[in-house]
Amino acid sequence: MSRLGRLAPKDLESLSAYVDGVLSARAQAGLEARLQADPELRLAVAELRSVKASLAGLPQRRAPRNFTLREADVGRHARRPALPYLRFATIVASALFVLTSAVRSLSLPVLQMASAPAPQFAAEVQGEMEPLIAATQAGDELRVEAPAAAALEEGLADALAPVSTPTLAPTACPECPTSFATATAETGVSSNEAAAEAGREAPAIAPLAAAQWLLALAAIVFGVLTLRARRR
Amino acid sequence: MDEAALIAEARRGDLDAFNTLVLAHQTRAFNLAWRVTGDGEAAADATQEAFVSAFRKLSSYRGGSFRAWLLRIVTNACYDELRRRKRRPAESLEALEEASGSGEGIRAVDPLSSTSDDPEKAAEQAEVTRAIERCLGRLPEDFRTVVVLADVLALDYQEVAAAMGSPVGTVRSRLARARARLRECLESSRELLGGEKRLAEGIAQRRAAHPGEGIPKGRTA
Repeated sequence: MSRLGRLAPKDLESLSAYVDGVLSARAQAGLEARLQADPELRLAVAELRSVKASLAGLPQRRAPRNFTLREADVGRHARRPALPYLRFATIVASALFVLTSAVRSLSLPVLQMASAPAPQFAAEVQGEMEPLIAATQAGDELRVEAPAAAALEEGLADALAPVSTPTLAPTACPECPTSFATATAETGVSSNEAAAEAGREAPAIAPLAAAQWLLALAAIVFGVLTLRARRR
Repeated sequence: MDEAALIAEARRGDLDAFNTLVLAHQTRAFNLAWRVTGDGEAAADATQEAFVSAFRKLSSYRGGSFRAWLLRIVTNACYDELRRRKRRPAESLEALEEASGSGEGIRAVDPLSSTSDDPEKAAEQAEVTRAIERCLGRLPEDFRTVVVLADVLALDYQEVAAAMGSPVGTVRSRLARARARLRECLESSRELLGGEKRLAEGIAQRRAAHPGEGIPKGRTA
């Protein structure tokens, strides 16, 4: 074991600090008094100075290259997002948002029509029926106009089957053109039924809107996360 | 522009200002990394990683010695690099020593250390350097780091404490123990070297007394 290894830890620490010149004035004076009296301590100081000098004399090596940073090193102009899946999720959320918006906007006219006031709808139906009534009165022209009636039936049957059936009543009954008022009344009743049915369907819009809002929220959250990830 | 102004500019994201700081500190940073890892390649990787990390962490710099703050990042990068490579620095230093013996070591990379005109003295210096490096490599990481910071890079106790993230009292006691261990290791090396030298002298004397003995055929004069 070396001389330094045989020293008490406290003495070793004091001598090491003494060599570095960091002892307080009082501690230094006390240690110097001991050094004068103890040749072993003086040798220990010499050994510590020797080690310190050996380390200080180690050659320095030049840096093998410059370690300066480029923009890319700190991710300044990284085109790719840090978390690509977030970008993908944002796109998906946005696409679903647009899709639900489109579905909702396309659904609205039909639903509005279904929930329109019955007299107004009846007036519309009456306007559409006038040519048919005229054809009915013309008698032999009925066969020619029948396909048009069938087309109208098909068009309306999709949305309002209960309404379209009575509109054909005059054409199905050539001998009772005067029953138009009755037919109109029936149409009004049927329109009311249709409106009630549409009212039953109305709650279906609520989940659609909720989904739309959820998707919009998801798109915003993913967007913010992506931006934060990019900044990191 | 002084260091404080450069730091302020760099904190605002000015990479040129930061690179001026890099150029001012890179030699010290690299030498710390080299002495701690004992491997030039690992040291370069750790130094580069440390500067990237320092730029990103600039907002956490709270004043004081910028050099010490930076060297702490370098020290941590070295420990990470050592763990990543799972290599003991002593092995790397031995590799460096072998390279040095074949003319590719420290003296070859550092012309400042080969200024002696006396070949025998230069050889002695090289031997001492190798012995110190070998002993440094055998120290535990914390001990090696403290002596490199205090004695090789000549930082004061406060800076060493800041660079290691330890109290000054811990630095003081750790430095004393590290120096004692190094002294012991160097004494062992000297005894070993002395023994080798005596052995070499004995062989030379025997050859002089019995020329040709122990020398392969075809190579005798």
